[in-house]
Amino acid sequence: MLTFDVAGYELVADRRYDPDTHMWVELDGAGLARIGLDPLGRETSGDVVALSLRDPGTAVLRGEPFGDLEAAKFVGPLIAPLSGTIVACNESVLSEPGVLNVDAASNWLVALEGFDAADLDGMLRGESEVAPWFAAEVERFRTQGAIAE
Amino acid sequence: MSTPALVEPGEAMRVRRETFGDAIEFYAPGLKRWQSSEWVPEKANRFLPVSVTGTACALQCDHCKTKVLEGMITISKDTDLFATAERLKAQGTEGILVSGGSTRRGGVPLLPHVDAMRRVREELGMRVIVHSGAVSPKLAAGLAEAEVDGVMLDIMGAEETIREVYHLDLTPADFERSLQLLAEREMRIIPHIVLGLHYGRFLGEWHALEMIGRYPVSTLILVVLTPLIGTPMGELEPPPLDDVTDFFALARVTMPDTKVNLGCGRPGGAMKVALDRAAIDHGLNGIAYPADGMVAYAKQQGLEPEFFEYCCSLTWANA
Repeated sequence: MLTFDVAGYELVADRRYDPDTHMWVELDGAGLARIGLDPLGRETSGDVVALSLRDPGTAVLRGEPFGDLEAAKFVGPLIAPLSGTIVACNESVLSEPGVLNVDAASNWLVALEGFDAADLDGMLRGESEVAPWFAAEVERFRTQGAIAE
Repeated sequence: MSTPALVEPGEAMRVRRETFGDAIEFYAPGLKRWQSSEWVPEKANRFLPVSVTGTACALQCDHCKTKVLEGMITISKDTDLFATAERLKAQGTEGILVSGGSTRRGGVPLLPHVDAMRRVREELGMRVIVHSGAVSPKLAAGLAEAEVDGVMLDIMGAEETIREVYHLDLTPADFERSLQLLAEREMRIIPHIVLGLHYGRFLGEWHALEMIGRYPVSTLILVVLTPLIGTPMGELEPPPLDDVTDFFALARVTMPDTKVNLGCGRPGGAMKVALDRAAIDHGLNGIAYPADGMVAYAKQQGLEPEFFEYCCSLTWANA
């Protein structure tokens, strides 16, 4: 997994990052998109306690919930970065949500198919696009106290 | 204090209704990003915590290990408390909790900041409450002079817990002395009791309640030990639910005229749901960050929910 570092956070290179939801999106090239929490989405949530995900077969819309997270610093819905139909939930994460505290980059949450490619246009990809945005977000969250200064 | 007799939930609810009627208060301070299917707060940053020590703490308590400080806004040499509050005010924040790590003597080093607290209240019109830890006469005087809106402190009733969990060379009498000092200054006192603090079991909680009952406190906040990942207590089980809910009822009838709230510190998931239901059933006045379904549940019990986007210690501000 090729990665790059921004302000002390490790980001996976061959993924898209949604600035609105702090989710990463990984395309498998065969019409499947896996979704997970990006490093700031994870850290600003704090230690994860409980996770629920919508069932496979559920159609979700970008900007709408695809699950719910309960963590030390965040309790609320997980917002879909793109529209599509859930075809799989990561059962190992559902059974042990605490793995997200250790490694949110390897542990995807849901896989979508039939997603709308137009939703990908607003996402950032590649170090040159991701790094400036991510660095600014780190600063913003530090100012807000959402992550340690 | 020996283990007191059990109080039936019905009796606790009767006491609650007699004094406080049917209102139940739900709180959502800005200590974390939070929403439920029943309530989406309008302004998440209305009330924010500021640490005067950053993530530093001399105690390194077994239940926290500074984890609680990690989510707070930090002041620095370049941005003192007033400047920090000014910046937050510009972003829409209306009140702050001034907190921080502890010194080896069990107090948060607030004294250098009391003048800034006064200015934050007077010049910015913001509410200021503090986490004090153990209170010295000098700190009580400083906080009184600053006219802070309230003082929150954990009250521990067992010397073993103070020594083993908090690593402090203090006794329960020192915490009672803190209550006394604040009462003498007519401060708004908001004591907290951490239920199950002694590694998941009850030990000094009854004595703590007994001590608190001797002073004119504004609101009693009950929180429940939450084993935090990365701390020595990370692998512990929370205290047994029945022990906690029995204590809810006992606190209710022991302090029939004082508001008793379930604070934001408590385990999540299924236990949170059970705790919140019990808090409603056992006559507590309010709940911070209620679990999904609790607003509807309270209504089913004939209670009338009210919603406040600030800390559950600020009960006097509700009127």
